[in-house]
Amino acid sequence: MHLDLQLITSGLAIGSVYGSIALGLVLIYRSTGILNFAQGEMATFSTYIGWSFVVSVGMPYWVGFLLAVLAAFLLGAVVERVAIRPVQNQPHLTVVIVTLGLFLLFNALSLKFWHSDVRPFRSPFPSGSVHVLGTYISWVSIGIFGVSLISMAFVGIVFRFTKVGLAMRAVTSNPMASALMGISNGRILSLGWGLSAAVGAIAGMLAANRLLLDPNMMQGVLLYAFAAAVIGGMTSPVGAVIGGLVMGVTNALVSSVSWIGSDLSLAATFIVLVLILLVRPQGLFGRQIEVRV
Amino acid sequence: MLELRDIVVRYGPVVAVDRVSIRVEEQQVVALLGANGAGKTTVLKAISGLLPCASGDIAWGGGVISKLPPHRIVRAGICQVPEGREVFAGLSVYDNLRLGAYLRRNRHAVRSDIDRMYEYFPVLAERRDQAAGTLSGGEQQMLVIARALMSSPAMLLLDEPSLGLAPLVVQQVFSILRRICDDMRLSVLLVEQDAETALSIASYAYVLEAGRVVVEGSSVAMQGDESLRRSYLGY
Ligand SMILES: Nc1ncnc2c1ncn2[C@@H]1O[C@H](COP(=O)(O)OP(=O)(O)OP(=O)(O)O)[C@@H](O)[C@H]1O
Ligand SMILES: [Mg+2]
Repeated sequence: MHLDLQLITSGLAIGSVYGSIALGLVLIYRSTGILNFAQGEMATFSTYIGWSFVVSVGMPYWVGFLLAVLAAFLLGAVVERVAIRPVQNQPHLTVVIVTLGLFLLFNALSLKFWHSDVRPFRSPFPSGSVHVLGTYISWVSIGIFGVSLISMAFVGIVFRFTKVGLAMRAVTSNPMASALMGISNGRILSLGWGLSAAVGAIAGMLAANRLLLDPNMMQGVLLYAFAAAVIGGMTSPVGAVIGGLVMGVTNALVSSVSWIGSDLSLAATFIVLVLILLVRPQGLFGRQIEVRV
Repeated sequence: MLELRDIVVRYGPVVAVDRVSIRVEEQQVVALLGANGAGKTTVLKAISGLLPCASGDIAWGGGVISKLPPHRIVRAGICQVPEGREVFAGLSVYDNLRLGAYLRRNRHAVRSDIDRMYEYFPVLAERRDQAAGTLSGGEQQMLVIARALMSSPAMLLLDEPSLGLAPLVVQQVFSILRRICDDMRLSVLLVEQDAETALSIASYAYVLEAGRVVVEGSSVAMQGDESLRRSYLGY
């Protein structure tokens, strides 16, 4: 195992992509108790939208990027409204089936509109490297890491410091009481789905350069993201982000071990996950709020 | 004026509230009394739009509100303090109060109202940054009342504010309530099992039994009628 900076930074870059998807999973899970299996596929679909804007239409990269993020936001909000809200009071398994159905739906839509051939999606970042502490770190890694971190910080700021964020925390904490405060719970949950989808779309577009764009691109990512969310304690947004980074770096490091290699790295990474959970079953950031009655 | 006209509320096939009619005039305090399971909470939930009326309707300020969702009813000026102190446990006392004012736009007025609540309930000021879930039962009750008042409602629905509180704290909460109702010119529909305390603050009362209004009348008349008190109010 080489503990070199280059490996760690490339692990952090892909880890920030896992973290973004994990953040979306956690935002939805903590407010509704729903595991959104379609989180990754919605991101892929939005990435294709971005690809069409940039490559087919020929828009400047960041214009297409922002439009795709906007489209993803609307998509998330609409999915909540038409697919989730009608079943949200149904038994848990029903809701799981619906999000699995959405997974299949978005996968099929990507396939239908953009076919299965792998498409390169050029990176918006320079191709060279920067010389730091005796090694070379690629601009692409720095760019992916930086942009995901900015998008996740944006979500954090919305949550902490805005009125809408306060309402989101209220709906999560006590939906009956929040309705009695005049909050439209449905609208707030829609917003939450939109925000999660937007962060997912950013992750998808950043990952598309590393992973190449194809309809199944985010499936591996989703697996890592679930693991990241679990490490983070399932209900902690900060935990999800850190969990993602832990998964990314662990994965980069174990796949550099010659007898593990990239074939077994997924399995090895999950062994690390299990070890972490053996020590802290509630995850790194899982905690229970004390409530006196 | 709030007027419930023959409302029926069901849980599936079970009729919990059966053709109930209640009136609360402007700035009047009305008590809704009755034993456990009589349907008091169900009536308040129907007013707040948390449960649908199977038949009958609810009029408020010249319009019918019985088809509106909960957040629209708050917007119309009716705010409920639900049973069981439903605080936002993980959020601070201050954030709980801010959420009470969610629909209000005037930040300046909201801030001065928060200060006013801290005057009514000084203990909340001391704990403003503490998570609401860690407050004592009495403190949580004060918080949910203050939080509801932050919406600056015209009508307050209170569901058993005395439940689980020591008698001294009950007296304290009720005397503050009395003051607030006068200050803010509130109409109040007060649900209570503690009939004696409720009648001391209300001017009119209804008694529910198995989902129906069995007795109604002015507080003075009820307090003076010993046989009625014995058979319906248990004191
Ligand atoms: N969610 C529910 N599903 C089915 N039945 C319910 C439900 N909630 C209440 N009930 C029934 O409706 C009736 C009225 O309940 P409600 O909570 O309104 O009584 P209450 O007068 O508020 O009683 P308490 O003083 O104990 O709070 C009861 O018989 C109760 O069992
Ligand atoms: Mg009750």
